[in-house]
Amino acid sequence: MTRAPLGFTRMVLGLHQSAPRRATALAVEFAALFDIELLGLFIEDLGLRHLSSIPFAREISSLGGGWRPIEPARATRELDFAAGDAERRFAEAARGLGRRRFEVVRAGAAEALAAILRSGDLVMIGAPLAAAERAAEPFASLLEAAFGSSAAVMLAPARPARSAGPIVAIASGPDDPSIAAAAASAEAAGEEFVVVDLRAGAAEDWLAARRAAGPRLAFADDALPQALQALRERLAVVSRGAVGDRIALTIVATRSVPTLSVDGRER
Amino acid sequence: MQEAVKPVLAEDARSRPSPPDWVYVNSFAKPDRPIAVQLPSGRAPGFSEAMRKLIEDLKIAAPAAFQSEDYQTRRSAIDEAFQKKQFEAFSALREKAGEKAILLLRTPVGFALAPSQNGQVVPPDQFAAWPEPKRRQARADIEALEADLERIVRQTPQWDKQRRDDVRALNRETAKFAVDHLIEEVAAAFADLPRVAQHIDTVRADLIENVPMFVARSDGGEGQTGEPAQEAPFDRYEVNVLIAQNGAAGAPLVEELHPTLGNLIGRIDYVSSHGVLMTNFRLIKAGSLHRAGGGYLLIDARSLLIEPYSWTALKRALRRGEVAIEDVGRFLGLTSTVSLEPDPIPLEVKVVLFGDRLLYFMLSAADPDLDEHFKILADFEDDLPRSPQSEAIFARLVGSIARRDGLKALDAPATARVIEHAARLAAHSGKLSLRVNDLREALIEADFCAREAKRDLVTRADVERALQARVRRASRLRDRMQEAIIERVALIATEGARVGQVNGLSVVEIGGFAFGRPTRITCQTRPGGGKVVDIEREVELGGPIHSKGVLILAGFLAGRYALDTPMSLFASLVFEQSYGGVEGDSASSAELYALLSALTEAPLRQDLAVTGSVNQHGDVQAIGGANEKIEGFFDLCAARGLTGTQGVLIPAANVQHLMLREDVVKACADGRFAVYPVASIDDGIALLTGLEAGQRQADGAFPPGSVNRRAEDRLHAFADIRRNFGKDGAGPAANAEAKR
Repeated sequence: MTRAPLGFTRMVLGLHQSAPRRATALAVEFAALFDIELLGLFIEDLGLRHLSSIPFAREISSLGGGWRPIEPARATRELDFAAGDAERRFAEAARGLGRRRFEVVRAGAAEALAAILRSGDLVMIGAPLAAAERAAEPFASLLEAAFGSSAAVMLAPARPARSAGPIVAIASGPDDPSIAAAAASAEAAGEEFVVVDLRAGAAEDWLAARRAAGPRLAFADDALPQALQALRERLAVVSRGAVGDRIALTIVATRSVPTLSVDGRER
Repeated sequence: MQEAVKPVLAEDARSRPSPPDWVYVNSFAKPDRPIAVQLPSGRAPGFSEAMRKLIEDLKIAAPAAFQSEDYQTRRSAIDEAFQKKQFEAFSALREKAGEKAILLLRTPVGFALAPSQNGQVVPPDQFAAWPEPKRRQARADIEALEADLERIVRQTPQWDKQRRDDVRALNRETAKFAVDHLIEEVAAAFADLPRVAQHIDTVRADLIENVPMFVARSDGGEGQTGEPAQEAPFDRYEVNVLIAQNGAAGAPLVEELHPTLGNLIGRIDYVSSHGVLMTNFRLIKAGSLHRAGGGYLLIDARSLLIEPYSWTALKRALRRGEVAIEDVGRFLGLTSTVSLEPDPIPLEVKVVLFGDRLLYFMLSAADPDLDEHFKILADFEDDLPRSPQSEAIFARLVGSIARRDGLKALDAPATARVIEHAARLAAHSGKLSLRVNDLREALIEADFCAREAKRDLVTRADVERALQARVRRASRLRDRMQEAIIERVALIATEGARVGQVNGLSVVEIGGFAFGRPTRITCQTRPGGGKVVDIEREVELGGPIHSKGVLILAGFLAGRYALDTPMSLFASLVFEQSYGGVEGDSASSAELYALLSALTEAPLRQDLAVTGSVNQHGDVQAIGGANEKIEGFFDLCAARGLTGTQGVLIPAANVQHLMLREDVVKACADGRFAVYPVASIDDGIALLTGLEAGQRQADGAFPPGSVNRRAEDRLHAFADIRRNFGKDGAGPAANAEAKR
């Protein structure tokens, strides 16, 4: 199997009924950039289907209007529509992409991902715009399953801020795995490569580690938003882990920039 | 006329105070009602420039303020606080639900809570298989959590509103910081002008409220702002300088040559944007009424009256004492797009209308408003009495025209020739025409002749050549008519004598060129009921004044000859080979001579031509165009060869009007042509027939053989014929007797 410079062979775009629409376009953009296959995976949430068959099931509209019963027929119709709509949008967005596929699976998010992921996969998940949606199912389970897997995870913002700009590695030292991934991404994208070191007083380390043609450096000194503000990045790359996952979610939510979480292990 | 008036007004305008400047600024409360602001003379450009500079500075300062670290930090904090509040509330609910094996689900339109097992929603068949108490408990737990969920969902819009309020307050604070120190400079420069200061305060308030909108989102994901979106939003703070005196001393003197409604009262322009016509306060243009504010506005009345809506708009402005810019498209129903209603601007102007008398009289009769708005009538003479003094003044006028127009100076003989020409234009030897434009045109052409001849001064020959050239260029029709006479297509005799036939003279004026044309007038008489028939009138080619002249002839005949017998004449008069209309009574004396000749069978000299009107007493009265008429007959005679007996009979009252061409004057002086002033019909008939006219003698009769005696006798004979007509054998025989 051909491997792109980053080591990914396939991007799995995790879609569900409340996934942001722009995630598909972003997945196509990065799949093309990394020259990898794109698999659109619509996970039709069994939970909602099951709930609709429970007699007292009801939902509250986030747009007002109070409570109303969840009717099985309507729930099925809405889920079918969401799957069809996602497929249509995928087909349209990925029209120019050589290797692409779309699948609909009816399962829980964790099960669906576990069943389909393999070595060399990059999972992309669209983060809902509203914080409420990020706290609810199925996104919460999907995110948990993705971060629980060994695959690299890219979180896509609901409204990407820009489509050009430097690729920024958010690192904790010169050896942080995010740096290599960001460097490869920058090369693939033809963008500038920047490293932001989160540690206070990190400059000293870099003086020793920096090579002649090294990346542009920035230092967050515990104030990452301000450091990123000046960079106007296109993609942020972080290392997997509790801190990295939290940073990834924060960057997506506050800066509307896609964030790639890598574990740094050789693929 | 304008040339004479303008310097006088200009001098007066210079002594008046310079009027204020006016600008239009945006009305932030009502953008369709731009606000007019008055500034002291000459300060509007400075105000405009200060606002323009303010905008330029803001274009840099505003984005910088919104990109500042401080703003970004505070903005992020607000957004994050909102997100955090929402996320924490839902996360807490999710956690609380999880403790009771309940899942929080996102549905297509909202949120729901579901019983779970192993982290998944319980399938319905399994749920049904649960023991009843467990199911009841799950339902109770869900109902309790639903209350929490509802509270959070209902709280979310309030959190969002709080976020928006916080962002707005932050934006306002940031904008105020960016705007205040910049606008203070402008405010300080115009602190002495309360109205301007008030506007600057309004601008400040609007900027603080709206600057964030004018700054493009440079970083959409962060919901923050960056570069200017476009220039247009800042345009609302510009100043439209409508009127600025620009340091000019005194009041303005404006001449409006094209007084359309828009040119007069100003207009509102439009620009096309995406196929829609748009406008704003910056597209308001001043009219001449604005520009002439505090001074004088000169308008040609005819031009004003032929422009739609201009006259009424001018009156409206004068009546209201203010200029309100109106969209002519609206009057006509052509404008369907949004327009403006700018503040009217107070009007303090003296409007001077120029026009000819006829126009004034017509306008005065047709529009009673004229007197209300134009109270001062200045009726300028067209000419001035000719005297050595006035000739000297006129010579200076000629000199000043030449100087002002950059023409070569005239030598004394040339000036004298121009003065002669002015007298000719006045059609009066004792007057000089003040039609300056006509003089100027002649001078320009004379200047051209002098330049062609490489002369430093314009000579009499140059003036003569110029005048002749002007005639030559316009004389094609005259020449063709004369050619027709020479070739005997049009029958005009210039020698011999004929009964009932006389040479009349008329004036043809086409395209400003007038010339005299000889016309053969003939008459036939016979016994009848006292009627003189004007054939021109019968065929509706004669105008009312001409008909009146012919009717006067009947009155003359009846008064002079039919004192004791009924008027028993039938006479017909006609302008031979005349195919157009005939108007005026200047041929009535000629018609009377033809009639008397026909009646008396006394031949009339054909080497003479006649002009002049006549009254019922036989007095010959003055007519117009005497010079042209004389020259018309002279040209014909000269073309055929002057015999020395040829000439023209003119009313004696017209002698003063004679300003004949040099060649005519010379021919008369040499005895080759003659002009005969005639005061009465008797004078004229004697000259034309070579017979004595005859005066009534003591016995009441005219002398035998005189024209009058022959006329009276013939009329008596006609009366006899009529009296005997119808009696046996009397008709034809008696008629034959009368002819003898």
